[in-house]
Amino acid sequence: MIKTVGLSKNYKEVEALVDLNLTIDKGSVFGFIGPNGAGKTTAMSILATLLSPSRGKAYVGGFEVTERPEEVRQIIGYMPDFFGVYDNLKVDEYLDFYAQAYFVPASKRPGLIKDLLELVNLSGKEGVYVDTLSRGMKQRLGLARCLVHSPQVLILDEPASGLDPRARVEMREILKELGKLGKTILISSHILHELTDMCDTIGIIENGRMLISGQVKDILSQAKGMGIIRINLLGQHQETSNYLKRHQLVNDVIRDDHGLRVYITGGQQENYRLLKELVTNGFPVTGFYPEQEDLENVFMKITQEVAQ
Amino acid sequence: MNNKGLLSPVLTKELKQRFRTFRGPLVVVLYLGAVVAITLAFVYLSTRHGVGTFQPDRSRELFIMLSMLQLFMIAFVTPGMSAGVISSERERQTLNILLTTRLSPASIILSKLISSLSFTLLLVITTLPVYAMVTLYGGIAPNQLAGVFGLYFLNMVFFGSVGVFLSTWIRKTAISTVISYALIFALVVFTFLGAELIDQYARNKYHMEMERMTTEAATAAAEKAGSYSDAQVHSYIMYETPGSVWILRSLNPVIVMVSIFEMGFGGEFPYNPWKIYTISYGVLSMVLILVSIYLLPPIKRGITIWP
Repeated sequence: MIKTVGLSKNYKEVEALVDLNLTIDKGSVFGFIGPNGAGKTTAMSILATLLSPSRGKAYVGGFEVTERPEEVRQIIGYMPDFFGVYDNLKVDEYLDFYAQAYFVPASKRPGLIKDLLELVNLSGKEGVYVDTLSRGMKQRLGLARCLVHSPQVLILDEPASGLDPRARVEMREILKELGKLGKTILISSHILHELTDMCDTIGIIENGRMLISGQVKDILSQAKGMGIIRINLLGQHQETSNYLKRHQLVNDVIRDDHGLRVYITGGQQENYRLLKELVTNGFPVTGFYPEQEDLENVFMKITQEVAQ
Repeated sequence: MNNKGLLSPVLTKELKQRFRTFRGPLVVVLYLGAVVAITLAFVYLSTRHGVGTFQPDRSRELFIMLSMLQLFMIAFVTPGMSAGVISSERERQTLNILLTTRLSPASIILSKLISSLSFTLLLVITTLPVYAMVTLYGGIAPNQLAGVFGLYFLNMVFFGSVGVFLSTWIRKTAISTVISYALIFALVVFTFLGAELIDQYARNKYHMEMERMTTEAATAAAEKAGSYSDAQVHSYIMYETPGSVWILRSLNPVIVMVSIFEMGFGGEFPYNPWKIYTISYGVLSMVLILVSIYLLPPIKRGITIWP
């Protein structure tokens, strides 16, 4: 349903997107993960016909975005990372306006608006002015707005950004529902766990380059092969750190007030091997134990490794 | 109803937003109140020392004053209404969403232009009863009244097109508004001053030429005993205002407005200034609208008028 071939975008000297090759099947929920400024919004803006690529091609529903933008717009629902609403316009009028903008027949609009408001848990808010809604409500209304013409593809740029935890959960539940309805969804976030339970495929992008992409379970299993060890020392912190950085099992070493945090590839056997080598080499180790780490940090380490 | 037409739902939405608030009717009431007060004050001052009758020539003066007042109101209000139509969407972060709908750039631009003109048009229309009161006393030909309203409409479209173009081209509403006012002010001032400067230069040249010819003729007459000087003949060569002066004057809204009342500003026009004024600003407005339609979409694919 979505395909990009060598998609690149330059802003003068800055490479915002480099050679993006992406294929998202129909009905798939694809999570685009990366830090701010990674190139997620650029890629999504190109797919939403809002930006011309510098090189490469992008197709949505088989239509090339720069050659057939009208057809692309008919099949996509786009929600930007930041968007405003109109003053002096009520919720139902807001949705009615966008339904008209997609040439939805007048006879179908009242029922459609009612259903959409129900889907995004805004029933009863029809007569409320949109600029008075809370941020979470505006986001949900924005999502309803994306759906007025029943698009096959949803391009959602950080739809949960700036929301409180409750609103994030609500948004996630709505997106899961949409996934079940068979929509092809491209959703971005810089928070991993937000996407892992609703996406079937994910791609990690950094500095405009896609570092890794694939099935969520495959990437998570890769992440699970990595651990973090806390090492406490009597002294020789710098020497120990230098030794570990050269070690083949170690991906990274961070020194803090409590000692060293070591990112290591492998399980118990590898941990034992590393401890043994440190003691054998005379480093004054007083503590060596695995540290609980959230998935995101481990994930970022993977991406760092891939990037290197 | 399928809205797949040139005028998009943007127009309905804009009108709803614009006229829904208390501010709109309040401005109309205040403006109309001011126009009525000025008109009645003028009538009162014109009749208080007389026998209580209002002369047609006074009515004509009042009509001219009212027409000028409205022209300045249009020049003041229209850019303010139109210079933010696209840039404010951009600032409010609603433009990108609008551009991913199926609305064509042409329908967005035209709807925005019409909605921005609607308020000025409403202000002008609400003053029609005041005009009716003024023309009641006579002194105004129906074609003059039609000419004044035609000029209003043309100016509104042109000033609105300038505002919409700048709003599409420039990202910030504040900057596009200031530039719109500056351009309209410059247009009025430069066409007036330009015409006057060229006219003055041509007059000076004419007088110098006359002086030279007179001197030459006198010298020739003195050299040739018994002949007559051509100086008297030269005095019959009339000064002719250059065509460029007339063209510049034809482009000045105030001068064209004055020409409607046949006051002969700067001499009688050798042709109807309306034609030049209408064609020039009509074409310019169209060009500005087409350029705006071209500039609006992020991916440029030429200008498509129908969605």
